[in-house]
Amino acid sequence: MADLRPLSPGRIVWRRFRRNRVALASAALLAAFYALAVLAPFVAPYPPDELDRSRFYHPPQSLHWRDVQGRFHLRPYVRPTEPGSEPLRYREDPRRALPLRFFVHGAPYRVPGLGRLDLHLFGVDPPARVNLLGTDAAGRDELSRLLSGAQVSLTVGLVGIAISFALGLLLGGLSGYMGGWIDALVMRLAELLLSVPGLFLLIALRAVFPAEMPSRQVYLAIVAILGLIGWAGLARVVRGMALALRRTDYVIAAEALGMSRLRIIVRHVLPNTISFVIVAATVSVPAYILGEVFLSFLGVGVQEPAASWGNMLQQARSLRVLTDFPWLLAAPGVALFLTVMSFNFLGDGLRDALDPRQLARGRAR
Amino acid sequence: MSEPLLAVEDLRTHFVTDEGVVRAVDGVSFEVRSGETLALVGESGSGKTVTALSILRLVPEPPARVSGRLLFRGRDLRALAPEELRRVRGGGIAMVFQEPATSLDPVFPCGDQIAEVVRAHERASRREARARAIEMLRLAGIPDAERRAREYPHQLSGGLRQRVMIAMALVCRPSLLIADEPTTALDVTIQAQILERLDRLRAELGMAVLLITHDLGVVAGAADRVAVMYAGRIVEWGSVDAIFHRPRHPYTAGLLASLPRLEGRGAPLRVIPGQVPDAARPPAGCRFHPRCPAALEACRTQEPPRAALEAGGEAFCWRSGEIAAGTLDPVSGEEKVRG
Repeated sequence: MADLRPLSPGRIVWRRFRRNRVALASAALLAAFYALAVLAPFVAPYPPDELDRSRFYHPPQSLHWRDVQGRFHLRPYVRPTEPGSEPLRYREDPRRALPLRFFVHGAPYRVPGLGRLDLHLFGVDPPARVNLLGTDAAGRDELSRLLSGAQVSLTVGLVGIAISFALGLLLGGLSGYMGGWIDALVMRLAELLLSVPGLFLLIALRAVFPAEMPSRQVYLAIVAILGLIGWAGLARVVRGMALALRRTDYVIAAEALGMSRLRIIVRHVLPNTISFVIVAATVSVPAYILGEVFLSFLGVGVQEPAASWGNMLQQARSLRVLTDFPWLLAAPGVALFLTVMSFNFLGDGLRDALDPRQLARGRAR
Repeated sequence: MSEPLLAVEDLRTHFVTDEGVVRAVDGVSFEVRSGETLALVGESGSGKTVTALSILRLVPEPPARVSGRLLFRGRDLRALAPEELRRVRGGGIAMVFQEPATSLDPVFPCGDQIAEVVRAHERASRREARARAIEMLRLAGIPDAERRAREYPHQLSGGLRQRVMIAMALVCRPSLLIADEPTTALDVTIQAQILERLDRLRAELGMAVLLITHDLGVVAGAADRVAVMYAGRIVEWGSVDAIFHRPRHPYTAGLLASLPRLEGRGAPLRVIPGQVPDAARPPAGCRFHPRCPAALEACRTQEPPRAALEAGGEAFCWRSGEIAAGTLDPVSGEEKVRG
């Protein structure tokens, strides 16, 4: 028998979201990316800054499942390589196999709360090395760098959004609800920020911090800069919504029953902007990710030897890379492309699911 | 007589607009005594709701200009500091609005919204506030209050939503409830239940009610005294009995005459000709004179005098003496020879 109880708002949204396959797939992909970023030291076979001077610009090694006799192996293997006759060319040895080992002990890494671990998802018996996505100019494993870079590139968006949206919501809400000189001040400030070209502002603010900083501090600086730039656009929209919400019956009713202004903003005005904010946040994440890429591409972002998708792309900007070592461009490029696309599809899906007009229709039953 | 709970003295709420100054409320005075129900009656646009909003100082100034005195327990609400005013709202005077559909925040369960009012006024833990909310929902006549408290406004019917609003308004035990057309958006059977419940709560909690309505049927059943508003002014007030049986103002008489009556079934309904005047350009003299069947020359030019009625009420009409004496029919305007 069908359950006839009315659905809670959350369930209604989920039902509608579920129907959008592309958005659902994007959400799954992003979840996988973030999981990989969290587990990066474990999934990556090597530390991101470990050099191998015998293997510069090594192309990606392919996994083999069948041996020379054509027999199938459950455990894939790679073929060992050695430098070829020309420099930067490597020759596979078809007679030997390097079976992939799982849960191997390798380079140690730190996990907060667990101390030092040295377990890795996969690897090959040392001293041989496996580079599934090849190596870069310094012989560093591209896969390990990609995973380590994901920790920077994927979180910079979330943390940046958290900062700028906290600012945007509070300032926009205050501005719209209080009106008067607070409104004028906040809005002029927002317009000032919006009238300066974003990239210029980004670089100018970057100049405030010293050029040579430890990578962790650079990361924090980038996040802070992106957050401080990003709140203005949101604050303007939230202000508009607050202006409209301020005259709704339930806000007047809350006022009539003695709720304080701050309480009304926090409890009634902001929660009613939430469906817009969720969508806006989702579609703005790519801007933050690309902001980091942009800064790192200019060489003022995350510094080598630490990895980010931005400085990986920066390394891959020459024509030589495009013709001879395309994996250096493809690895961060594809990862970035998939991430940005997924956020956009996810945002679209959420917008359809949370569309206020559809919700209003649902409520008017 | 003891000091009234609320004394409104010469309240004027004007809105400055491009078309001129709109005098939505223009010199209204009345009193609400502890424990009574005073009905404020009038057509749409007569200024009832603006009066209510002005009392709680919910009319934004500017664009509005408010003057007059609003004495609640002897203290002028217009002189209170913001924090004192906040405590009076919901704690001393609470308000229920016309539209239960939009007066509740759609994104929170009902119980949370009531509990929030408790926490705005009293030091109460979440758990205590929640218990108070459920208790109040029960008092407001909501069956299965615990479950309803967890539901969202869109899951409730109009009648239930209005009960939630009433519970929300009364949870901090105000001594005056302003109910602005609390039953207008509901169907007739629910209307009766809500009004009955309000009256029961008024008696149980010992509060006064300022009932704003355009529905004389509601007034007859629920109020102790009535004040009739027309075009931003009070034209007559008195006890329900006096107003219904011995109206002294042609407007009141006309309103009563336009009620459908059982004995006159099939007969066309009487109406008061014309419309409520534009509040930006009210007529000179008595504001009702363009529609009044008994208007004299004096009504067109001079403000009507105050005439005390026998039962303690007042009418503002040049001819209330004649109406009282029975020599003028206030509905038709015909003069009758005594005898």
